[in-house]
Amino acid sequence: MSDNNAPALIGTSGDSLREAFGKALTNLADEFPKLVVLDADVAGGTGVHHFRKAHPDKFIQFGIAEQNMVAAAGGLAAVGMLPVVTGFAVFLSRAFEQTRLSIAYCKRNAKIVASHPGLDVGPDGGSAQALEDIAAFRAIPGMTVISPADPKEMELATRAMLEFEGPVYMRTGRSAAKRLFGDDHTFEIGKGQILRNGRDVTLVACGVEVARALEAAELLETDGIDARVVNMATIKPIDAKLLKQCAAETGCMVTAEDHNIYGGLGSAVAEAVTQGHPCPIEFVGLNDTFGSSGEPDELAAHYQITAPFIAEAARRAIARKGSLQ
Amino acid sequence: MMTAAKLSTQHSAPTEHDLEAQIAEAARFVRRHTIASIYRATSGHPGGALSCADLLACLFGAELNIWPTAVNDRFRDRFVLSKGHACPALYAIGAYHGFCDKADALNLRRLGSPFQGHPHVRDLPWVETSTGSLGQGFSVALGMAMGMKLQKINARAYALLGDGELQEGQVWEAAMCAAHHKLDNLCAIIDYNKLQSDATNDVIMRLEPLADKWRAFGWMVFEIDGHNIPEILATLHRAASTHERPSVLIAHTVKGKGVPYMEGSPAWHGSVKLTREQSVDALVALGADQHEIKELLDV
Repeated sequence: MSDNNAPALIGTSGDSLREAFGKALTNLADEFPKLVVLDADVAGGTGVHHFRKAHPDKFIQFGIAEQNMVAAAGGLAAVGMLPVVTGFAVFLSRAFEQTRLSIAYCKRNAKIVASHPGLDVGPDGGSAQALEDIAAFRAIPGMTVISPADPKEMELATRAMLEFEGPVYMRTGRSAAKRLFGDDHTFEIGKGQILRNGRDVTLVACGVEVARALEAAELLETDGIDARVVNMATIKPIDAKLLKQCAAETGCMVTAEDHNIYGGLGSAVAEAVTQGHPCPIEFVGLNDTFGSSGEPDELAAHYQITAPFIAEAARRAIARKGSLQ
Repeated sequence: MMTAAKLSTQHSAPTEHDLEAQIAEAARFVRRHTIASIYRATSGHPGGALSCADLLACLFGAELNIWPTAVNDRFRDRFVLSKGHACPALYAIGAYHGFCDKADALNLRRLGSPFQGHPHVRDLPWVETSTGSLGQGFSVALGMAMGMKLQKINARAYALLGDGELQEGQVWEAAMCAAHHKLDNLCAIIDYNKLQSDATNDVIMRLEPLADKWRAFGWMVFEIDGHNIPEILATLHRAASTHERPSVLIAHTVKGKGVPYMEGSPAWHGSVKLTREQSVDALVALGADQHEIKELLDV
């Protein structure tokens, strides 16, 4: 398939996380001589069309066959290659068991990068919106799970993922993402970052919800509530130390994610906080429901994961302070 | 591919007959060892381990370029037991060729033993990848073949599949992919014993016309008797010289081969507990004498 003369992809933005990933990967190819990129006929959607164009000899087409692609990545890693499996999050989930056995159980240095997660997918509808992937891949022993927040962080996370030895699952994103970080931004796997200090409540978010959490903090400020915002780009291993510190210092938390509230970031935060410094936690995410068609912002409002809902959850969390024995 | 000299302990050049006799002896060892380890473990899958014993003996004895002293050599051939439940046979052939200790390999399916109920590469590096979920090992071998080509490593990847395994859709994803990418360094071997867990293939999910399916997917197909050692050796040799196409050996076998009361019965597919009497009967049928039987079952 030629990249020239192709129809413009609807919804494509130079600022989407998938485009940032595809460009970063392309630029890093020469630094990682064993790198190969695996695709299941969605390169135009995952951002790796940039890579295919620049490095066709390191791009492997698997066709629409994710199970074979993911297990083959285990074989490529076994003989010394550095495979990066790319695809849409829902379809990579069908290779969950291949990820489990042929990559994670074998401790292969293979990476899985999933675009089109969550409501951020938009009009393709409920069937295409992965709301379970963080929970599923987080449950695999030894798996690292990352969900960067903006294009700059995606670029840094792509490098960090390639430098890291071991299996990684990383979420990108389909829609235009707000730029949050400048050139001085840093990224380290396993480290959360306080983006805004505050003492009344901590808002912990990942992916596209980080921008919404920052917006929620501004809404809360007008009410005189001083909210802290933490970007938790690594969901596993979670930065338990930072979370316990935030729990101790602010006394309550809200988690926000474009994912089912069961098993994702919120669960990971709760696991860490309840083992260290228990405090009230409110969960913003999909409330055990599938998504539907619509524009991403419309969907986010409909399913109540936008800034006003995060702010409302913060007020609830603050009201519950002191309720724990 | 290696020469016959690998197996020989003689100084003079071995004849083809010597090689075949050595492989037949290795296969007998695999079968006895399989029975003994499953008896000791009180569980395990004997039927499909016995049916592939001759195939494994040929691969390890004359085909695979692998060495116990260099299990990480990047130029080695790769062998994947995609039908991971047949691992008692894999452990036995590995032990026979010095990849692990023979007595250790009898310690199957126990806490702390690297000889798990399905092969695990982090316990035993020479098994190359962890298997036990049907279909996956084949794709992993495909990835290995692909990666070796990309690195211009002139070695081959082999995957031994069960027939029931061919019911997994992933197998046909991999079959399509290997032909598309012209992976002539990939060789699949099908242990076609016609039986699976609950009944015959024909009852559970028909596989025929099997050779036609593989041909239609673009593979070079060889149909052989999977217990005829000269035929297996000759066909592996021919398969290795296939250009721009992957090759598949459809090896017709008998489930439980070598143990009369198991032959052709699906009852011995699954994880079973062998009684002492059953184990002794099997070992006698496999030509073991009283001393060997005592050593295998009791020591």
